Amino acid sequence: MRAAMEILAALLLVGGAVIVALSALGVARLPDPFSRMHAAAKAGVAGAGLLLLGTGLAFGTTGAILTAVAAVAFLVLTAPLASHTLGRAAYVAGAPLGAARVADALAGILDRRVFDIDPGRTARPRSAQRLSPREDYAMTAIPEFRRPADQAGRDSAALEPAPARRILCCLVGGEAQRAATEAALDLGRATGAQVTGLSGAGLEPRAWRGPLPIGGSFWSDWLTTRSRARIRQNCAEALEEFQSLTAGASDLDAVARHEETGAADFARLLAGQDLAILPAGAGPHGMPAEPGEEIAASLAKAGVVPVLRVRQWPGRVRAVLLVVGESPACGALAAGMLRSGLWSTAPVSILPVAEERPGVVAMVEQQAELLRQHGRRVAILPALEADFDITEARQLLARFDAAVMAQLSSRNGGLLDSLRLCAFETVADTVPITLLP
Amino acid sequence: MTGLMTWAAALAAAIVTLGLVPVAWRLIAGPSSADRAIATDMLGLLGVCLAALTALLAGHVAFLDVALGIALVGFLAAVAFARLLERASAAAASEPAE
Repeated sequence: MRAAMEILAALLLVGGAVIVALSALGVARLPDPFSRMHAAAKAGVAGAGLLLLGTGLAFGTTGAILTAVAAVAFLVLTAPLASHTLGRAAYVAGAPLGAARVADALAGILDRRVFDIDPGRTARPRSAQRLSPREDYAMTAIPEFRRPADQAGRDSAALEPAPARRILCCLVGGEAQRAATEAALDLGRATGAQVTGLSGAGLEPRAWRGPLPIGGSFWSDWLTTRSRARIRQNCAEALEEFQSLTAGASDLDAVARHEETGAADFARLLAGQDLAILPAGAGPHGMPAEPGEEIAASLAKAGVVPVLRVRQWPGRVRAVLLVVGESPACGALAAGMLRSGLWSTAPVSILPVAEERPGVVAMVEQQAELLRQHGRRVAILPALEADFDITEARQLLARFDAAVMAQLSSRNGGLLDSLRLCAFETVADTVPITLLP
Repeated sequence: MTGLMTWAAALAAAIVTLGLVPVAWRLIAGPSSADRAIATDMLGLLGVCLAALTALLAGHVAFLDVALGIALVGFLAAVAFARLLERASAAAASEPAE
């Protein structure tokens, strides 16, 4: 009997210790505060309880067993309360929800506040470098044969307008596809360039990035199949339209192609093209997308080829707008526009955005000077504040037919997505044509 | 106190001590104060375990009362930390952004 009790006590001791150690590991390893709390509360109390019972049994006296049972009872009674208050505090303090985000039952009941609590870690100063188009992009392997260099682009030798000789018209579907196709054909007629209609690029498998890794491969397959079907249908319609528009045209050098490749072959497809024309609002998965997530935006970020994003095709461009923000790439807008040779007679207005940021005023003046040297009429508009009025801005923008920007969206959302307005997105939504040099 | 018990207690103490390392890392690394409060809670539990094992290894039943005391203090600490977290975050929200 005594031996059996000892073996049981030893098992309880070692088992409890193992459970406690595992729970400690869980506190360190689990991804968000709530699952960590769950590890600490349940497994921790179970392990400590087993260990205490084992100790009581090992002593074997009534007093020791009673003390151990009292401690276990106390733990079992208080641990739910403690972890509940801790979890509530973490929720209110705005700790990241992690997997619980799937169904946040407390949304709207408890007031969630700013994450977190620990200003030394969370409030990092945002570096200006991050906004540069060269940073942190998958396509850094592409040689910089087309990228507008910040300083070198201002050399006058590089500013001779190079007439576009090959124009790529991306047939990706969407509402603006017809306008984009017409734009490509018109430009092709005007410059005598060869127009290539390319459909089907960028069929990447779409990974399931849900909050839970449940059924991941199934959802990935499903999403990929669905988006592939959608893309193919869009492409087919756009290709048909392109071919019907080019069918009777003898004054035009037009080719239509369909290629299904991933991003790896992107450089080959874009090589030698002088201008890529894309419809506005076409997202990478065959669905309409926000300006910041369009194919046009990612192409422009890659900086391989100047991108012309067409929302409507006004035919003739009477006024051009240069939108200069804080990103260093905005300093090369005028150079890019001059080099593209587009709109060589239209007067140019420069719209500074967020003028108080460092470098914006200098970039605006440099580019105005550069444009004046090339004999363009330049006007500098009053700067757009960060909290501009959107209807006024749209009225102001309505008289421009084309805009030159470095990016389609600079939305950072601000704190808790509090900034709803993005000057670049407003321009992209209002002005019919956007050039991203 | 036989050899088996001593061995089991020593082994358990070693395992629990190993468990201190990840909790301490979480306590230091954070990243949020909620994580730190949870790690402190877990440290209290580990303290309970170590006190119980000390009672066995030292042969004094009195250490079991220490374990009980640590459990009590740990509970109060968790509740206090929770209150502190809620109040501190309320103060942070009333300040201007960034």
